[in-house]
Amino acid sequence: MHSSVLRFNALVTFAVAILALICALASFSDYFNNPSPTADVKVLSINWFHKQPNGNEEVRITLNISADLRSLFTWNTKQVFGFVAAEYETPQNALNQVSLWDIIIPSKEDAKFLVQITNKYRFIDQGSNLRSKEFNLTLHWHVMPKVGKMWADKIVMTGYRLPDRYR
Amino acid sequence: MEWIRENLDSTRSLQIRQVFTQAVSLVMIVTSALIIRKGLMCVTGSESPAVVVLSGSMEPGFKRGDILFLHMSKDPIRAGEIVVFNIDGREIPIVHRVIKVHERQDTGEVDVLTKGDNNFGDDRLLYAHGQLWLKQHHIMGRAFGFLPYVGWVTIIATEKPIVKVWNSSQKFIITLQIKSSILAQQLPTLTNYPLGTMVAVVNVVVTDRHPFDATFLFRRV
Repeated sequence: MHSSVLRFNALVTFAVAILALICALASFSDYFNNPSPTADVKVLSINWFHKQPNGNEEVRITLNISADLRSLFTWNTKQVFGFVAAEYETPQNALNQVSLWDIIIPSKEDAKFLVQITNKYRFIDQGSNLRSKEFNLTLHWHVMPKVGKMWADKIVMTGYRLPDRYR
Repeated sequence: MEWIRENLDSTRSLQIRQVFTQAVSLVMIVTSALIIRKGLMCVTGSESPAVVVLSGSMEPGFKRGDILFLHMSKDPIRAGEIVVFNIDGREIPIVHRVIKVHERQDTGEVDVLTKGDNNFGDDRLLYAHGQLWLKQHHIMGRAFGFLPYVGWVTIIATEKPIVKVWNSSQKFIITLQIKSSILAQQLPTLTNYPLGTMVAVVNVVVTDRHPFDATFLFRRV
């Protein structure tokens, strides 16, 4: 009954159970973190605004993004994925979310940044509704843990408007 | 002689009992695994409540061998979520992040575009020919939890690369370097890797004589 195989089996089972418990506790500890991230996005210029041959409008835009996401990091955080999306409503679509730029933040030291960028992904509408369109710029973040539950939230910045004519 | 026979009988019954105990415990393990799986399916509403990450396209967030837990809620899909989707005519589900969402005003239907965090471009090259957007029915689940390394158990159990190569019609391992985006386009699964990555073909299923009309399974080397 007390062969080495049985002992080894019991040991492994116990170790796995303890490991699972530690993982669960590590993930649970994230609940006690109340982050207070800040962000500010400015539209520096609209570099290009035209209609494609297929009728969809495209915008190229330069943004100034400053954010402080340091409070999102806990001891169970592997990385934070952040991105800025343009969000707007059109007669056809209740919601359009177009990701413009993103960043992988590997550590707390890199989580405060100020960048000036042109959009990394194409800002194309489904149709041609963008002239004088009011839109929101939203900074989303997605906290990827070392183990357990993933977290996501956002800061919505309102009051941006596209020009009324192509350029 | 009598005591020998007695001893023999008792050991035989002991052996039978041991074998029986082992068989029962094996059945217990299998059924409990099934119960957990089915239970998770009920709770999460997703047909596959957990998936193993197979490619490096979401690195450094998710590496090969990590496990993702999925749910399938009725909430509309939003940008930034990590979804698991199936493309028509493709066996292996893909785990990538949603970067664009267009939701219809009247029907609530969604058009979704995805991209791997570690890939250069979006996933249109991975989609079926001419497909621009993912629809709701392509999406099998949405990731909410993460467990590192554990998936290696299933990768090792199911993927024995060398065995697969020898079983396939092409009995060799090719090492090739992704040099141009044209090659990457012709071999769609290669777009999971950035240009210049060394990959090995671990399985080739040739469906036609044309060299590119085949299913390749790649492994980063």
